[in-house]
Amino acid sequence: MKKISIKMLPDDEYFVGHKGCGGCGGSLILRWTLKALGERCHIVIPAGCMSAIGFIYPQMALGVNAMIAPFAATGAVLSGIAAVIRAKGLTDIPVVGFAGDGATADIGLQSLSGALDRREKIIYICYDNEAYMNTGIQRSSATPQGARTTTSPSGQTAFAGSKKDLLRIAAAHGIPYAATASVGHPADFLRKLDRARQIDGPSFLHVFAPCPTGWGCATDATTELGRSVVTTGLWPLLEWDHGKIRINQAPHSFAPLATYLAPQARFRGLEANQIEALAAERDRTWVALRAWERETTNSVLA
Amino acid sequence: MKKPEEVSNPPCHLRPFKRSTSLAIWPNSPQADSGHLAFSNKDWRNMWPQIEWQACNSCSLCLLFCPEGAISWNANRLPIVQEDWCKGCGLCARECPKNLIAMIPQTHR
Repeated sequence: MKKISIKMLPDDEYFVGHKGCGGCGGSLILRWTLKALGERCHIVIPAGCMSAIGFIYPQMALGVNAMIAPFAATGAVLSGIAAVIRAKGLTDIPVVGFAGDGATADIGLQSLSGALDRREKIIYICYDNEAYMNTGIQRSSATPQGARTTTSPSGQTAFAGSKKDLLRIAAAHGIPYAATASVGHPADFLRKLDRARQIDGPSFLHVFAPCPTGWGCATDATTELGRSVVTTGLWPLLEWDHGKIRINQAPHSFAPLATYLAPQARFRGLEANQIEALAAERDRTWVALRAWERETTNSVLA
Repeated sequence: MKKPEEVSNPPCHLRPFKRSTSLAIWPNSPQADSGHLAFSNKDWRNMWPQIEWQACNSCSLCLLFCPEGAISWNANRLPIVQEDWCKGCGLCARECPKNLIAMIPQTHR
């Protein structure tokens, strides 16, 4: 098996001509994934942006076998395909699910949980654009605190809920591999995809994917936001590998939150005290993360 | 590495057909033919990436960061933008480490 890296990516394109908005982070991740896994891979996409922009009759923007799953059934369809491939004795077909944050954290959560429990060899990629973008930017449970969507105002009346921690949910199933990645760090993402491909069992990747239309940022800000969300500490790059959590990038000090928040219209209503609250929440998350890392690396089982 | 012309059925390329007239000329189902592209995205953009080739060292970052897969190599391994798929988002211009890509208005091309 050839190692996946930026240098080894083939020239072949398997996701061209889709109808996504300019600068779409999700479609960039899907394009990398298909380039890396090649034409043998089978991909399952639930209702959401990627199915809306990829499969417009009579057009088929994907160059691999792909099917649309019901919104709540990505995990179930994935384990079905994986079971058939196992029964037929095929070993060279990666089975990949590519769902948005709504289809993963809200609607498809029970199905994902079932798929992780069945231990079939699947790769589940959640591209997180932090709201239901396809239907018009409604709040999902992966929307960060303080972000404006069409169903949650920003400012002092902002919705109090914070982002659902999908990595911990996946890790709690005791699966072999789960990781977070960002569109701003392609080398890191491709390394994690390579690792996920070699795992015999389910793996879960949670990838940060900016949406210029929904977030009110410039179309060319996608990759820059993908980097600043990591340097500000709001999106830790993590890797859960056989019971151990590793923090891939642990900054000594965080970049000011404004570098991430200011280019986006969805955070424009935030007031100074709310930004401070966001920073405090981030610091608490990191304390918990570091404790989790110590706890798993020093464990007697490790 | 296989070149597009060596592949009998290359993935994802434009196969335009006349819309409207009669249902009979529409393909039976999109999944019968993966990578079947009927319509170009040409009309989507209002900016166009103009690449300065002289100083380009073919680092391939513009190819990597194009969400459309619209940039490919020419025979001299220099990046060319495909008219049909570029949406003018400007990510290639932002990511070029040498700032060789200028986004110019589509009307001034």
